[in-house]
Amino acid sequence: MVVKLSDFNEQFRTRLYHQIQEIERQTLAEVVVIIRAQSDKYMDISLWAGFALQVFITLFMLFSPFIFNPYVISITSLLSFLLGYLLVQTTTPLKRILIRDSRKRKAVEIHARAIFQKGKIHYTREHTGLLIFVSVFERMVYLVPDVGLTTAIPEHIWQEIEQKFNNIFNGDDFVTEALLRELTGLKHLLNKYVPPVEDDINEIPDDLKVEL
Amino acid sequence: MIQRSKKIILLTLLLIAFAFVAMARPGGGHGYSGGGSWGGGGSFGGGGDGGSVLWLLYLLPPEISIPLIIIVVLYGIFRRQRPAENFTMVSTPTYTNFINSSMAVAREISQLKALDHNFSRVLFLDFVSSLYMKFYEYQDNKKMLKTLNPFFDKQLLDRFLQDPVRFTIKEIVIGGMNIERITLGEKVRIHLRIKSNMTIVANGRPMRYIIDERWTLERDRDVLSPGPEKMHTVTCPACGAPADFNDAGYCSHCGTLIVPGKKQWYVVARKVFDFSIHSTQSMLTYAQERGTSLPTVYDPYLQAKKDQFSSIHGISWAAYEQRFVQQIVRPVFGEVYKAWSGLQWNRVRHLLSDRLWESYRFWIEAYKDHGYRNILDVHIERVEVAKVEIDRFYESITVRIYAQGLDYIIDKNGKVVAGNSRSPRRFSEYWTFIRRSGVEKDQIDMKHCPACGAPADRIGQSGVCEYCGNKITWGDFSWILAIITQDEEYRG
Repeated sequence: MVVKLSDFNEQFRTRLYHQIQEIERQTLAEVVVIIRAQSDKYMDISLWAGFALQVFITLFMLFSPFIFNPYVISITSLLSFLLGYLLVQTTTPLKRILIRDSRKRKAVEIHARAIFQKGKIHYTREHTGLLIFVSVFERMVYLVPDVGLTTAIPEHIWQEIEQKFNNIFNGDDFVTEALLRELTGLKHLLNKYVPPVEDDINEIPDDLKVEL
Repeated sequence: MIQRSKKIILLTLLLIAFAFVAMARPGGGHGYSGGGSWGGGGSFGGGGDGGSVLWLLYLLPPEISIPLIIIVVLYGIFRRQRPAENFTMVSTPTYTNFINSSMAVAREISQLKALDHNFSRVLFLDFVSSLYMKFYEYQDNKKMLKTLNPFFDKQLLDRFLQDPVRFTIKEIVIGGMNIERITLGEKVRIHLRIKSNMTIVANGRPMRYIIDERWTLERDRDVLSPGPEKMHTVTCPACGAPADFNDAGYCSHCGTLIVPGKKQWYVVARKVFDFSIHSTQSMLTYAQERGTSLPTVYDPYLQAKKDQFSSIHGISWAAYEQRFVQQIVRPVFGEVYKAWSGLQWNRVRHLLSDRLWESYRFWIEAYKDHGYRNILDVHIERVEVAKVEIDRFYESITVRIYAQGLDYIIDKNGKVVAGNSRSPRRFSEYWTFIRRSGVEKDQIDMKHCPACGAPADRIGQSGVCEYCGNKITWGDFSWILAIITQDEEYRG
């Protein structure tokens, strides 16, 4: 399924916030969902692609049986670098294929953990904050639960939850719909392990600003 | 990553250099048949940067200029992709979510009023505001802080009592107070979001801070709210004397034991969301209007409240609304903006509630300190009634005012330092007027005390007319302006 950033529009945000309110009403967890276009610019990948094309084209021009004007070789060399660079930089699927999964996962994890700290999601009385970080370019979701949740919910359940969230990019449905559906599933699960207490109120401010 | 990128760029440049060196390769050293012209003689009118760039391209041979054009075009395409790279969405509420939340709060207030006929939102906010001021003012005086013990959870207050005095707090300005949620269980709880700014003096150095916090107040379910005389300020809920309680919670005036939550609200929780340094330089910042085009937030019970208001006063709402806008809203709007522009805030002391007057006075003083004046030459375009609230003690009407005009800041020499003195700005604000129930006066005399008719020139900070001694800023004699909320901030 092709993911378009325009799918994450105001209407979706309204539904997302409503869904989170529902989770917080029915569980002790304090959930924050953050969707970012990407967790890293991966500029080096595009530069390498440019360089590879440049090497290929330059070598071809230098050693081919055809005679090229040296200026043409130089200019073409530069242009082929730019072409290779821009081709990868602007063609998302191509760039994604060229980056190892482990690197993408690491970038997403670093980004998610930084947001968790900077957004003060750990500032809850019972340490029940949960960050669901969606990185669109990497097509990955990373969950950062606070200690109150990790102690209440077994490790293998977390892995299952994370797996389900990561699958939102693989189904036939829109990612936005799939994400909301997984949040509903999460609500039931959190309700089982961390049910709400009387008069539980949102402890993470609604006007959360995350600037890294 | 940056290191990696640098390496690749270096390699690229080396390769280009290598290609130049290759000019010397056998068979490669052909002469360059340059010097081609683009038919010259054309003139690039207009000049400017674009013209210079084109002129430069005109001078360069096509072997260089064409690749340059391609590079510029490709760069342009690349730049257009940039904003998408920075896309971030946080699960914060949208305007629709805010409206839904405000509807929910309106319903909860209505449920609370069914339990407690004396509950008045106006008075409750007055009480919390007064408690808030005292709580911070007394931070350097633990003895006085201790006198507030019936109004705070013991553990919560003890934490502040045990802290050594390290600073003093003054010039507390409450910017906004919003009821976030009300829960009706065995106890009634109200969660309030309070945004304020205050000067904290530590080691002789004053520093202004912004505080954004939530206070949760609790009370027994079956308690009836006290009347205005015990809610406007922090008093003994039994005798109404100024708050002065011993460690055990006995009032020093009437000797009644005041158990927290049995007769009056008390603070059970406090959570700070933001505590940061506040710069008055922000007064020169002009943010783009964000809320003018947003739909008006109408109270879900608006029509019913209008009908109730009409029935209480035996009037037709349509006629009253017109009169209210003409005789109250428009004159007060004009007078408030005139006083603001003239830095003569005392002129409107009798028209504004204590909290509103205080909060804007802070900014007036800041303008004076910096030698600035905010000129607001504005006029009302239209007015819409958004909310009517009626309780046992107070009536309030909230209107959304659409206005436009010039809004700019000048310095001592009359030079415009912010804003625009030529093009008018359109904006809207929600203004809430309150008055004591039973008061029928529908006119505001801009120049005279509404109680005694004497000139309104001797009304001190406390809002008491020195001629008659009446406190006129509680709305006991006529409508007063209690709250001004920016359109994007208004929650109903």
